[in-house]
Amino acid sequence: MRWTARDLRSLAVGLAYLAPALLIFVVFVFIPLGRTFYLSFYNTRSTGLVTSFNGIDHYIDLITSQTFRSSLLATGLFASYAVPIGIALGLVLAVLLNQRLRGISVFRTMMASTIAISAAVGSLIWLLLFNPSLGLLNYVLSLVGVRGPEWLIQPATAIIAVSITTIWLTLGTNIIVLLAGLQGIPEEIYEAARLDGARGARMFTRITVPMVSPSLFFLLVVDTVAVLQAFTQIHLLTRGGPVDATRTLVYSIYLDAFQNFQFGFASAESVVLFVLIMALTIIQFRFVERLVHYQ
Amino acid sequence: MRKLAAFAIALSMVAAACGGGSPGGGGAASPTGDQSALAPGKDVKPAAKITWWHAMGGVNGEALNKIVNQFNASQSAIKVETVFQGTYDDLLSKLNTALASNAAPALVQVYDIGQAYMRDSGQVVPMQAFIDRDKFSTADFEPAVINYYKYQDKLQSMPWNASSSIFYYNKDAFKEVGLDPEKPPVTFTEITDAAKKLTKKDASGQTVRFGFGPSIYGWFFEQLMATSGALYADNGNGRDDRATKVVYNSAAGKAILDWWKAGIDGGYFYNPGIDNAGATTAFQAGKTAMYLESSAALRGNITTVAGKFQIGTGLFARPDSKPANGGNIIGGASLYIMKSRPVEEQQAAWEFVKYAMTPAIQAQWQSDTGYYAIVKSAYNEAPAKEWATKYPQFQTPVDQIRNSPQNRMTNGAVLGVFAQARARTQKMIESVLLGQATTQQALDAAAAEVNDAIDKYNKANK
Repeated sequence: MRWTARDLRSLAVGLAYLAPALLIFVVFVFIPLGRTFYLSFYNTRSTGLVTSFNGIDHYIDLITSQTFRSSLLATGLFASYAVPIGIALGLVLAVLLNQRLRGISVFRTMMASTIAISAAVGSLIWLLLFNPSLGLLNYVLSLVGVRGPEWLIQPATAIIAVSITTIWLTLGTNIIVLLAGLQGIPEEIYEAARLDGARGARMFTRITVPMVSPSLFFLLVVDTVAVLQAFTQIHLLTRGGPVDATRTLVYSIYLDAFQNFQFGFASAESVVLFVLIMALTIIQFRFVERLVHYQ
Repeated sequence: MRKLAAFAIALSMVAAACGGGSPGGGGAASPTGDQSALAPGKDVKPAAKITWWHAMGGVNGEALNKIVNQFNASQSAIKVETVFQGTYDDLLSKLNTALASNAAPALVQVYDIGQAYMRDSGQVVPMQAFIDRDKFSTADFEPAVINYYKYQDKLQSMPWNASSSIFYYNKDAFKEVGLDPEKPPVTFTEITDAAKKLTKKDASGQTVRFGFGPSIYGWFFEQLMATSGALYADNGNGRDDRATKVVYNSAAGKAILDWWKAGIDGGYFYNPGIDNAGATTAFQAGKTAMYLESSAALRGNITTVAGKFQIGTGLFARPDSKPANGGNIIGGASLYIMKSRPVEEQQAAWEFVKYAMTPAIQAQWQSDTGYYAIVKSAYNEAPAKEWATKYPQFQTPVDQIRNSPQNRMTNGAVLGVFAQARARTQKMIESVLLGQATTQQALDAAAAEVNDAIDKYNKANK
């Protein structure tokens, strides 16, 4: 295709409209991104001043480090707990909230309210609930005869505790997105299915789930990215411990950059996280999206 | 369309994940001898306004602002403004960024273990320069405190809030099990024996009270090394020359971890994790009968348990042999005057520092916060005397620090990567208590990793 003068002019006009957004993106996303790539090949002083070229040594150190492998494991475990359970729970609650009942909007507001709670506040609430001395969670468990674990002390339960907090924090958004998806399903489809004899579970798996699958897919992508970047709840609940059980990649980056002041190494970790999230997102679009039913 | 939108959102989130990295300024080696030349001339007129970054939240923050307001009202030439920057760690990482963009304030409060980092940054006017220039006397200062902040006999910063870690115990629980409530255990074996007696189980076999429950805090490990009379790092704890490695994977380090681990395995020590607040809550709730914490927590503890039980304080734990060269290291933070600000601002910052060190202000600071006065004559001031009557337990940390022999072990370690080293020792203790490694394995693994970080740091900050 050849560019005509008119094409060029409309391109210029288009770019002019995009300019404010592009400028913000360039300044706050692309320049830091480029700088991160650059720093990942250099050594820095603790003030961040670049001292010497380091080639791919940071990447080699990273791949051979035990801490990196355990942080990949923690990240994977965290994502596989928090994302599917968060979406499934959101779907169940959204279906329940989709009933036409008097006063249902009160319940909808209540269930979606975690959207208005910041991650920091939510994490502090859970920190109190998990507290081994005063924690409400273990008290409630003890009422039904269950001896609750020391949530944040044991590595296996610490990652679960962080996941529970994350699920709770994202639940509000998940419910709203899925509820909107459910309300977009035309009543006629259900009527037609009912005439064909579909009931309960079959109706749910054959009609509801496929019809909200665009919303489910949207949440899968967005929640995965959000979980891989989760910081606040880990920082406030466990600080990456015990023994690195909750030291996800993002938390590792934080520790290396802002506790250990090794900006080169932390940049290399950031690049790895970038590639990882990118790859996951592409995989999701390539393979999972085939299951999505677009109207 | 929706597909495209989802992809666009995902992509922008991916890109946003990759921020970070900050450029920074250079540095210079610190000279020796009389340092007056590094300070601004005596006749430089102080700036009208300076900013002070601090990390004191809550009650302590109010006490700090009270002093600043008093200073601002006491004269009209200089106005100090304070900015609360969150935790000590937050403050240091913000300072690091600010130095790069030349936005650092004139005066900053940096925690104890940030000392080597601050010196190596080359961005500090050594406090010694002002002291030498004005022949300012530090004869009245607590030796333990001033020695901690001296490097090769020069003060880089002015000690500000000082505390020490002490032993807390529940006197009522002591009476209940027949222990003498006026005689707290001091050595490892004494603590273990008391903990066994104090541990209480209910009918179902669940422990309702543990004898001893210190949090997994790297600072306590450093203190225990010091009370063992052992070095944490080489080259005289990094004070004779820059430390090249940590040496805590020694017999002294092993004895500490073995003792701790045995208590956990025996079921009479409690593990509250790395959460200091959680350990305090457990003690206040009666879930543990003894624990370790900063002297700065004393007032909060006494106020919270008032009416429930009596709190006793004792000397920090030490090995059974009670080594004569062992003692406690002070903790807290100190004040640095930043080189990147104009000399007028440095001058103004020094004027404020001198004010903050007067006995009256020191006594007020102690009674408002629970940090102890750095200037000895402050103890003759009315607020300090009232405080001593109200909280007799406070005498423990003061005596403890005054009775500690002054040597490289009790001066404490100086490391450029101390925050990392401390976090790593916490992980080391966790791995032992959770049974993931033997004490020696855990010590060696931690030391190896920290030594690697020291190497990198020393190479980058020559």
